[in-house]
Amino acid sequence: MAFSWRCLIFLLIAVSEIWLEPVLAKPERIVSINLCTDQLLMLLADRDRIISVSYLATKKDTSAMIREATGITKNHGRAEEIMLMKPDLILAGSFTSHPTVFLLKKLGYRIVEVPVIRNLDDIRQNIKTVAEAIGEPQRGIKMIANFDDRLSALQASPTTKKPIAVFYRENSYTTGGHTLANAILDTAGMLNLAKQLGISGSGHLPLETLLTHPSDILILGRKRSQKGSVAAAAFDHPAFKKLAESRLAITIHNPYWICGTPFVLDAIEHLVTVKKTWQKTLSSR
Amino acid sequence: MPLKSPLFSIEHCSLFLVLLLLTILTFAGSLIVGASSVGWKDLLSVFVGQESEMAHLILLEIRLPRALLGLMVGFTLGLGGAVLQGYLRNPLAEPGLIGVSGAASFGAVITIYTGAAGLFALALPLGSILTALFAVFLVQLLAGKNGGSLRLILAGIAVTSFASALTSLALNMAPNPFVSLEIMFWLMGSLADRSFEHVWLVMPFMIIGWALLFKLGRSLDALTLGEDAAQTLGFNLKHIRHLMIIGVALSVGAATSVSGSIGFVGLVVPHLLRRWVGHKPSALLLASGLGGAILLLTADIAVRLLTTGTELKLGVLTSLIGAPFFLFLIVKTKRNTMS
Repeated sequence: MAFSWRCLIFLLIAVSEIWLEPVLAKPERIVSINLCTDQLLMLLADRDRIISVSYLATKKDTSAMIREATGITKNHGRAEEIMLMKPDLILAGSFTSHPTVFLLKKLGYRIVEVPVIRNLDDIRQNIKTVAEAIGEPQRGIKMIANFDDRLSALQASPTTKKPIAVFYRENSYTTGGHTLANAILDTAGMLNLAKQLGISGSGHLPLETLLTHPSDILILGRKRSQKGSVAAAAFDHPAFKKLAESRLAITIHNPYWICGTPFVLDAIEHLVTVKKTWQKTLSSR
Repeated sequence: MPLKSPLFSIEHCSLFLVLLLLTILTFAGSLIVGASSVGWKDLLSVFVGQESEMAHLILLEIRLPRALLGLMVGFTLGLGGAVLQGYLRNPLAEPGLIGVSGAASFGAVITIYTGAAGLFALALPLGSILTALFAVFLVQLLAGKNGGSLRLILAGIAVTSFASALTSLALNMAPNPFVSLEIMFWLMGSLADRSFEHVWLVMPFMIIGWALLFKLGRSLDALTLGEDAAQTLGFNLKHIRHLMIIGVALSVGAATSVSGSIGFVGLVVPHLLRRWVGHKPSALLLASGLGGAILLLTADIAVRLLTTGTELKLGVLTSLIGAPFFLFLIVKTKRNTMS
């Protein structure tokens, strides 16, 4: 009985604390448990307010902000380790481990979940969400304004003929409509073959389909190590090698393509340069 | 044929004492192991009511539900394995055989796929249990009213294969890589960061399931003489099968819905304990349940101790240890029968 009384009192105190707190107190101990919120947080908040970011923030293949993230405590998204950091705000992605997010919510922590993005407008929305959550709405507005300025500068280049690009990654994976990658292609003035073939989200592109449909630029995913893998076997296929010879094949810097951050503009900039190269080879032929 | 069949008999008293002690030990162990340094001293201070607020939260809201679920899921798998092996008189039977685990997994995957799992904490286990119950209805239908145990196994395999095909389909059609990742991780089985809501949700299903399964003890003893002999002794085979299917469906379905699929516990534990209870199916039930709880709690402690960063998944560990151990058991039994 004593135990349940203590429980009740504890609950009452917890509830009253939530009520008494001003609604938009500026959080001072912010923890992020998702790669994408890690980067938005580091871009928007002062370093001393960031208590921890996810362990992915310093991984070369995924994070665009390794330098900024070194020195910040890393977490692995486990409820217990996060509680010990005593955060007053937790940033999570909408597909971060659900049991953990629910448990932390139940324990009274303030959690802001940031959805997966599918287009450039979602980036503006996510910047706004995070900026407001951490109590820096002005920085968010400024970042969105900078984003839009740079974006319109990139789009200013005249669109003559749009090249058809196609993603062809390990295991013949491709990326179709309703994805960030598609939005990047579209903004850079390229067409997406996978989208034309009716693929939405990630999908499988058989080598035969790739060979029989017109394409100008092959996007081969990230730079790979020399060591081969079964997943990359399709790249060694003679038919593919022949195709790659007659097309412009490029590799991309993966971290720019994963999260809805202003780094997406670097991906677009890269593609705009690629497009110019392609137009030159086209006119020289 | 003694018709009275208690859960455990005096002759195996020492075995049950050891099992009970180990269960308590592993349960306590599960409470004092975690990512933070909160340990046994804090646990003791909870009993006197002098713990810090943080220790209180970590022990009672994070580790206690996890330990309770480890106990309940382990018990269910051990008990389910013992019942199925007894009923089918086949040492290779395991709780997932009648299709419940596969269906429950598929139900969970669908909630992740559609995004329903993100709406409220119990969406995933609820979806999972509902699918499991539907699958059992289907298995009953496929197995027929008077069908034998072979037909039941085939129906179970059919439902499992279909559910796993649908699970792969969901993975295949996942709208973005983050969804596929979450599904993959869920399928590996884990008890990390479960809360009391999960415990309260699955507890009624499990308790009813356990009660039904324990009622089978006597029938399982009779079935060791063969189905015909059991029938002449006055046991209603149809009734036994109904009890068994519904009991396994409720308990194992609920277990899978909170933990994901966890392999080998239900298969290995009855084997381990069978000879200690004199090969008597009714005595094996409680022993195997406790054994399952001990094994799962130990494995769940191990995943927290072995990996400091991202946790190793519980289902992966049980299969990693379970598979070689099972091989060892097979080799050993073969030697024993040959010599």
